[in-house]
Amino acid sequence: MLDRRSFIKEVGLGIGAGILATAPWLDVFSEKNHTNTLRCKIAVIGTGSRGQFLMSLLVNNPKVEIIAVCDDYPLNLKKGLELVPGARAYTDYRKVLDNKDVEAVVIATPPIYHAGITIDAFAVGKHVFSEKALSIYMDEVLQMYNAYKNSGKVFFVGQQRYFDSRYLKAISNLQTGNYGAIQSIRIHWDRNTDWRRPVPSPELERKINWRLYKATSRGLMTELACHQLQVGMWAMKSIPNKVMGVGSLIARAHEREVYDNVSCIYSFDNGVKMTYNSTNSNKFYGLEEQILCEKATFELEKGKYYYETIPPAPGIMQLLHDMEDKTFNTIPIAGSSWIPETAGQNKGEYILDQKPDGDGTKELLEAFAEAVITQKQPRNFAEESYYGTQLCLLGHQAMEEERVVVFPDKYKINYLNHTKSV
Amino acid sequence: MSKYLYQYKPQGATISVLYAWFEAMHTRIDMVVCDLSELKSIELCDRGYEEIQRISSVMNRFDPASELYNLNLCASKQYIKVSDDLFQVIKYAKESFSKTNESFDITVHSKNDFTGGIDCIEMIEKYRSIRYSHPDVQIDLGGIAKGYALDRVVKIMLGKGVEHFLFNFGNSSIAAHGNNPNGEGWKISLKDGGESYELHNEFLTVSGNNTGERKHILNPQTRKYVEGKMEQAVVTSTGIEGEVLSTTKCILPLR
Repeated sequence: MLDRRSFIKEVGLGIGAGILATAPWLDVFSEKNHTNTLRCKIAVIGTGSRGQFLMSLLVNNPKVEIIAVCDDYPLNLKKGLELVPGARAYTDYRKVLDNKDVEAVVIATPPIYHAGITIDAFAVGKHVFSEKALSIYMDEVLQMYNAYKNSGKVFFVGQQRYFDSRYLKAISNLQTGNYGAIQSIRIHWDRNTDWRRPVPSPELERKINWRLYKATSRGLMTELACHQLQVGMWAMKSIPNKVMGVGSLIARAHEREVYDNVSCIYSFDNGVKMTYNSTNSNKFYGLEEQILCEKATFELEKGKYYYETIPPAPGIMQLLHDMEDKTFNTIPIAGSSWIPETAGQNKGEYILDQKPDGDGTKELLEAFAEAVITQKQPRNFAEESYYGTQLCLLGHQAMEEERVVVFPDKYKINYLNHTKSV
Repeated sequence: MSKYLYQYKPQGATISVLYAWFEAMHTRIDMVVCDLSELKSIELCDRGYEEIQRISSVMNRFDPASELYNLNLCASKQYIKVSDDLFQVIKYAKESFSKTNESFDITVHSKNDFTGGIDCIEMIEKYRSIRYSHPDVQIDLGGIAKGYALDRVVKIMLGKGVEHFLFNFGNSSIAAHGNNPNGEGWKISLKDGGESYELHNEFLTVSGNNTGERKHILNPQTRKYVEGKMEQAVVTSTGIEGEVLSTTKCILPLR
């Protein structure tokens, strides 16, 4: 277990005001050493595949005790109990909330249940971790946020990229201004999957395959875009105020209601566009968030960036690293003239020296446990997450209505360019 | 030419350090400036960038807008008045021809394999004017301009009171002044694991072929390119001197 300083150092980030300006929520780790002997008591509501994954991380955190699990689908509940045999089992989340020993809930149900459970949990004084997307309705997302604000409790959302060292380092670098202003953001996530899960009996179809139906899902927008659009907003330090989009069913009309093919264009106040393209019927290009700056291009998922013109001299970069380490070494740089023709293909530079082990989920859950123990909400995290979902839903609305949708005033909270004048 | 690219300030360094790099003179220029405020460092790197661009626009024989291009085009017909930069570099190169036993020759790329071009350059210092007495004479400053530009930028920095800096013009022309933040002077070695040099207010210049395939140094006497993988390094008190001596060291063993 690491304190904030160690965490920041471990992920290769510079210690100081810089990274906290990029990710103020990392301050959640500031008292980590003081909480080493403390544990928080957590209930996991929704023990399907995602819930089980979260539990597999939580059970290895010595600061967490899972005292209850809840699911109304017996098979999932059984699997949840297998991970935490001593936990109390529930089939109704309201009974979980009645349990006074439960300090916090981790919600990993389908998104249509997130709002109800979250609002009820805050009402009885529980801290909440909700998986993304927060809801499939913008109204509910706002209600969840307001419930959090009124409760004074901790509110986390399963947006793990905010704790992924590749993203932290890249966004921190981007925001130094060294790479010039952001010109464009291009995001895609392509998979070739039907999302279909086996159904033991027909009446369970919509319960198990909830992702495929409009009543319970916004498809690619809430399942995938939710993870990626927030990256663009984070990098820009701004919320896009307009979106246009088109969605369609091309390959999978026979087996689902939600789109299998979406394209959206989000527009920021300064004119920068963020495009989002996703499909469920071709996986060749995979996923990526490309941030095009004046002087370099970032590929965050790949963990690389590419200088627009010539790269820095490796020998000089070594010198600068030596300076950081306060060592005085020989700089291996001299030779016959370097000419651009010998530079070869632009293969880019790695954002981090070594590939991180995870995707930030482990650190995100550690942060949640810290916040529950210290009862301190990290700065900006709830707000970033709020807009992460709202932007997906706004894109969905644009596709449904086939028009340019402006971010409605009623859903603006007091954050970034949506700051309300006093 | 691409613009000034980047400022890099290493985290954790005990003093302020700024690294700027950009493409100019058909190579990469690296400027590491220490112990100044960030604003001042950027301002001086910008000043260095402008000076390099200016010299490049004077001495690039392939650029139709350059002064040297015009000189090569017209000097066989009449005296051409040139800038002080161009006059001084050509004068220095002309003097170097005899000092290097006729190894360093800026007219080696004259038309029609013409030899003896250096003696055909007529210069009138009073009027800063130059004429070629033979129509095939062409001047190429590719082997010396970087050193001159380096001297100019170093002079600007020293004139502004900058004490500690490392400038690297394409790996082959390096100026090291003052101290590395973590030691005395600057320790530089050849990239391929060759010799190391401790530089104290000095210049390190390297000429040669970094691969067996590359050949670009033409021996003015034999009219043959220097071949094979080899690099010659010299430490000097000026950049322009380093250019002349390192090139000469590549040619002389073959004579």
